[in-house]
This record gives sequence, C-alpha cells and structure tokens, in this order.
Amino acid sequence: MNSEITPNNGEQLTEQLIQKAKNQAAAFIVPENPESQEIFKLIETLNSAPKSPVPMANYDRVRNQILDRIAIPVETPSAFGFFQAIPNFVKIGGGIIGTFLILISLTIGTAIAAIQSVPGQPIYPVKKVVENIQLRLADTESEKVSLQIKFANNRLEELETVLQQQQEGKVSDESLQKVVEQTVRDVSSVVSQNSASGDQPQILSKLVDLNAKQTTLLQTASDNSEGEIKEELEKALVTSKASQEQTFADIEKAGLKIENNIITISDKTAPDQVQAHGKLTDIDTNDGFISIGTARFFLTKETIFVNIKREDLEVDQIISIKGKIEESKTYAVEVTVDEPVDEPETDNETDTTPPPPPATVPVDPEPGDDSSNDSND
Amino acid sequence: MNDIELQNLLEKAQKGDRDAFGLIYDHFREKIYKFIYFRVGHKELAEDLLSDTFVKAWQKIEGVNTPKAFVGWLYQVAKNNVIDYYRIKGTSIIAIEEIAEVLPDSTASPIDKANASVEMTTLMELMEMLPTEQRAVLEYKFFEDLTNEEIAAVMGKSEGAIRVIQHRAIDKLKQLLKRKISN
Repeated sequence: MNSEITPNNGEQLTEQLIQKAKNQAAAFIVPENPESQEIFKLIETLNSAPKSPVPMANYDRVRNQILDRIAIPVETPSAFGFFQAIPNFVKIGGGIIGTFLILISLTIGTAIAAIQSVPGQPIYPVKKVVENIQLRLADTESEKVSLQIKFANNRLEELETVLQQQQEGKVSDESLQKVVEQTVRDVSSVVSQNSASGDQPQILSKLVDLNAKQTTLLQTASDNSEGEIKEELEKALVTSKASQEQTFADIEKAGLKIENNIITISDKTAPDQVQAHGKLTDIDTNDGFISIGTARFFLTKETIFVNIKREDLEVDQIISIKGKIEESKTYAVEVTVDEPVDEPETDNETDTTPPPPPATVPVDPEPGDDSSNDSND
Repeated sequence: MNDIELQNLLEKAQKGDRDAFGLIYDHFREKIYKFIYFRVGHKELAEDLLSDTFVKAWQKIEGVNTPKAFVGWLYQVAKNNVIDYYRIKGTSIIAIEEIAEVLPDSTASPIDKANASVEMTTLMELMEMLPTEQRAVLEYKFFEDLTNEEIAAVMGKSEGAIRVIQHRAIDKLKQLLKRKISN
C-alpha cells in the first residue's frame, strides 16, 4: 500500500475515500486492492449525481428582513432585589407550581402569547411565521387579500401598543422608530398591492379604512411627541398620506368618488356588487350616470327603474341603487325611488311598496341625518 | 471564511454587532436555504423559514461558543423550523427524513433524476432498500453536500456515529449492487 495515510479501520477508509472523491484529500491515494477500488467507484458514482437547480433566493431581502427584526432589542426585565429575600422553600414550591402552569399553558399559552405579542418580544417572530403560513395556505386570492388586510390591521394594533409603551418609557425611541418604519412599510405594501385592482368594493373600503387608521394613529402620536421621534413620525405620516391619496385615486377609477366622507360598502353584498341609498345629487344625461353624493353609477339599457321612469329622475329624490362593478366602473342595475314618507297611515298588509333594499349603506349622508342605516357592520 | 474569522464574527455578534451577524448570514445563507428548500419545495416559504432561522440564531447566539457548534446548531434550528411548519400545517411529521414522503412531487429533490446516469439510477433504486438512517446519511452527504458535523446536528447524533452509519451504508449498497449484477 503506497498511501501516505494508513487507515486503521474500515470506517476511516470509507471516510477517506469519500474525501478523496470530493477532492478534500488530495494526498490520499486509493489502495489498489479490488475491494477499495470497487468502493471508491461506487462513492464516485454517488458523488457525481446531477444536482437539481434550486431557485435563487432573494438573499438581500431576507438579509434586510433579518437585520430589521433583530434591530429591535428584546426587553429583559431587571432583576428584582426582593427575589433574593424569598426563602428557598418558597422559591422551590413556586418553581414547581410555575413548571406545572407552564406545562399546562404551553400548548394554549404559546399560541395566545404569540398572537398578542408585539415587536420586541421574543415570541413575536412566531406570530409572523404563523401569519406567513396562513397566507401560504390561503385557498383563493380573495382569501389571501383578506388575510393581508387583517395582518396589516395587526401591525397597526401593535404600533398602537408600542406607542403607548414608548409614552410609558418602556420602549426606547430607537425601537419605536424601527416599529414605525416597518409598520408603514408593511401597511403601504398591502394597500398598494391591492388598491390598484379596483374591482372589489369591500376590499377597497377596507384599504381606505386601513390607511385612515394608520394616518390617524401617526398623527396622534406625532402630536404627542417631540424632538427626533416627532420628525420620524411626521416622515411616516407623509408616506401614509401619499398611500392614502393613491388609494383614493384607485377608488375613483372604480367609479366611486371620495371626498370628505368615506364610502362604506356592505360586506354582505357579493364582491362585484354595491348598494347605495340617499339623495340623488347629480344626473348627467350626456355620460349617462347618476350620483348619490359622492358615489357615481352609470346607467345602461338594462337598468331597471322601480316607481319611476328614467326621464322622471330628479335631483333631491331619495333613491336606492343596486349596482354592479365591471371593468372598474360601477353600473346601476336597479334604481328605486322611495315612496313619499308623508303618508303615516300605511297598512302593512296591503302595502304594495317594494321593500327597501336589504342592506343599503348611506352614502354621504346629510349632516345630522340619523336615519342612516349602518346595520351592516 | 476560516474558523478564526468566523470565531471573530461570532464574538462580535455576541456583543450585539448586527453587521458581524450579517456577515455570518452571508456565509451560511445558501447552505441553510437549500436545506430548507429541499424540505418545503417552495421558494418564498423557504426564504421565510431562512429568515426565522437566523432571527432565532441571533436570539440565542450568546450560548454558542465555537464556530463548529454554531454551524451544527444553525442546522438544528432550521430543521426545527421546517418541522414546526409541517406541524402547523397539520401534517404529522416525526422525523426530518420523512418529509420527502409528504412533498407533493420531486420538484424539490436535490437530484436531477431525469439526467442521472444508468449507474446512478441503479444506485438510487438500491438506496431505497437501505434502512432509513443509512439512506438519509448518504443523501445528506452526496446529494446535499453536508459535512459530517452538519449531518450529526440534523440527525441528533455524534460525528463518530455518522461515520459508522455511512460506512455501513456504503458496505450495504455495495452488497446490493453485487447481488443485482449477479442476478
């Protein structure tokens, strides 16, 4: 045997033959006996197996995500002096009870703790993992979008908690700054990804709410802050407002104009349907649309008119519209003019008036108008 | 990166140096990502689990003393993340070696079976006849290029045990091959 390294047993020889096949043991010479040659050939075949291509990961994005997440320091409670004063038997007893309680709460407690956690807590990453997995397991695109909105709301709730903790001196300005940046990034990302689609009124409504909530939260926090952190919050506020404006623009493209009042669209209607009720504020015969406050509905040949003819429509009439959304435009399917309300003695049994729409939402109600039907929430 | 450089970075990271930890991530990211990817078969999901693996590594980095221990531990964290994923998903997985059986297809296989030689295809068929543990060691070693210490960490065994298993696996494979040729 002319090897420089003499194996002293079969396991070591196998290891050296593997290293040789992997070019990690250049000095080692394969023994010339048939058995070693045979094993080496087998190892070489295994080593030459063609590898499958692996899709390239976005390593930089993951790196930034990791560095962002580890930037938030984990708050560790300071050691309490009185703990040393507790007698040992109490400590041991407490330990046993504590262990028991921990064991009981491990299954339920961990999940709840993760759900309730906020950035900076050790269990918080679990919450993000669970959210990501829920997203991956979403069956449909609309389910995925709903989850994204739900999680964006979670971010805002976390930010609210962290803002409160910062006010109480429990969280540093630097940590808060990181959470603010991450929240605005996450929420804006969800809004920009979904508002452009413009074909799901409920989604658009929720995105508007999301933006409004974020802007209000940041504005309040900015008002209560000063110095560097105030500057950061104002910077975030600018981003949030820009995102809000973009959402409004996307919604206008869908035929729903936003002014001062946000249109709330019923969740109980189908994704491509919308209902509105209120005073007719505009009739455009040229472009063929009618408006209730800020909501515009295009009229078509198929539009059904109940209690009125199309040409008899007048501004200030109280109407209900059932609409549908197609190619980012809202079309009136059925326009119903409400019967005059100055007939108090209505006999329910003989009433031939069509029932009011089941789930209408007031659009741009008159100030002080308490008749708004907001039972859809 | 050699062990001394990695040791320096580890010490800096243990003192809270995020940049040093970033460099550690750069060094191990590809291996850990591949390890996860082959077990979940989904790029974005593998990226998420990669991220969580390193965040967990950061949180516990103070307890790691040597680069060697760190590498093994990183694989253990990745493995546990993968198992947790399947647990949350509702798939009953007991061991990491079982995951290949629940993957929907062979898209995430480390081996490009379509382009394998006749000899290789024969060996892969024979490997199916090996005990799970022996087959797993050979797959880690030759298909995923894991070192003995990495395999030991993933399988929860000592490096010595891995050497013994790999020797037995090769020996058994050789016998199976001989038997197949003689038939």
